[in-house]
Amino acid sequence: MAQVIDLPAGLHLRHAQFSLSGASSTPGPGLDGRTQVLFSENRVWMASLVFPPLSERAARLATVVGDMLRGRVNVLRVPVSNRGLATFHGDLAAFYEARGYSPQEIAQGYVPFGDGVEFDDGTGFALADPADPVAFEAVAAGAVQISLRNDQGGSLGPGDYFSIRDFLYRVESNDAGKVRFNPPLRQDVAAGEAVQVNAPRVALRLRDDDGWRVFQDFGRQSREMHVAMVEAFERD
Amino acid sequence: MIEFLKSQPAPQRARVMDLLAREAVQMSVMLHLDFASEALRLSNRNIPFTDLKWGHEWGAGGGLLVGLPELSGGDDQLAPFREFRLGIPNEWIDAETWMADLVEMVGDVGSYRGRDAGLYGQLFDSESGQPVGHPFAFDIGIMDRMSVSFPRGGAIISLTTESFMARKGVPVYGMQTYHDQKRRHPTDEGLQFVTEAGKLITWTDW
Repeated sequence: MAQVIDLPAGLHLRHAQFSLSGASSTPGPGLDGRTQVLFSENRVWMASLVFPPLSERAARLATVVGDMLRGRVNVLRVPVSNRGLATFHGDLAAFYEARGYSPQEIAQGYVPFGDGVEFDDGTGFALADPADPVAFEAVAAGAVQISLRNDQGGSLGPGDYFSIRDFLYRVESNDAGKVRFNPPLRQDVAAGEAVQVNAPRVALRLRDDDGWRVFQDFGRQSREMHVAMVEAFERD
Repeated sequence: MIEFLKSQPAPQRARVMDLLAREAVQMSVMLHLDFASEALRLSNRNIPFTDLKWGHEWGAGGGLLVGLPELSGGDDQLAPFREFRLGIPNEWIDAETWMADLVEMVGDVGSYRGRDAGLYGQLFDSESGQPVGHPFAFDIGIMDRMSVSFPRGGAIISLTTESFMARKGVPVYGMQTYHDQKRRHPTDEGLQFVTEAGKLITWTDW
């Protein structure tokens, strides 16, 4: 069983680009020039991780991670940034601010009607719940749509990410919590199972055995380093 | 009606034909190896699915299936062998005696020789990702020989399958001589000059 290694907090990512890669085949164009393409659901995440120039401490940390990865044997668990989406990382005020609430609304803890009228009991609409959403109902592997219960599930937009059991999914569309996504669900999801939106994570494996060696280059403290990785499928 | 459609369930025939006529067709390749201990059902998808004919779950290949054979056939060809290559990467192996275990598995001829092997295709709906119609066979045969090699970083099992009609009752070294024929049919002189002619006579024509 492969060991799962979390990217240490002291080793920051500058960018992480994810693309779905699949292979199709074709017998070639017909006499009329049209081509029939045969494809299968074999898409996997290809990741390009970009690290900024490292401090001496971070560079040492990177070499340790490389030792633990043992080339392609073990798995690296990498956080995925939902840039542009209001996500909660322990600071509630910052989360509310990112959601677009005014300082007054944050201070009073509710939102009145648009014309400033409050409810009869002197309150208003509750502020968004920062907790990660959960699956509304059980969904089988292979599905491309999931219903998410919670404010954060409804806030996901096209291009945002979420993860379930360290499998990464990218949102295609969202209709009030009914989220359509790619690639299809890797595993069955039970009703009530947690879905990571605030801090999605993905399990990756190096694309080649020497992929982590960039951290032993002389330029590691002066230039960006790129690491190519591919999705890892095995789970406990 | 073409034979292919006859094997499909009637309510889905139109849908199957519609999918086949499209410019982009979602189709998976599936391999069934009926080992005595447990049947192996793999596909080239990375998400398992359940077929509509037998109700079996076809698991993700997970990198296990590393080599598919070229399929060929026709009127003038003998039923050829197919060789499948199954790769087992190092990181899957957690038993200390894994090499011995593999050799033992290959040596346990009764668990695979003569048992079913099949290579199938399955159409899928591109929108829903669900299978449409029944699986259709590319190649059906029986498992024959298995060998294992241990390159650096894992193991590769080579499995040969053959058609039901291949090599059954073939004499040793594949040659039927005049004397072989006389022993079976003492009055038959049909092969009398075969050796002198130096020609290979191919009987089968299926």
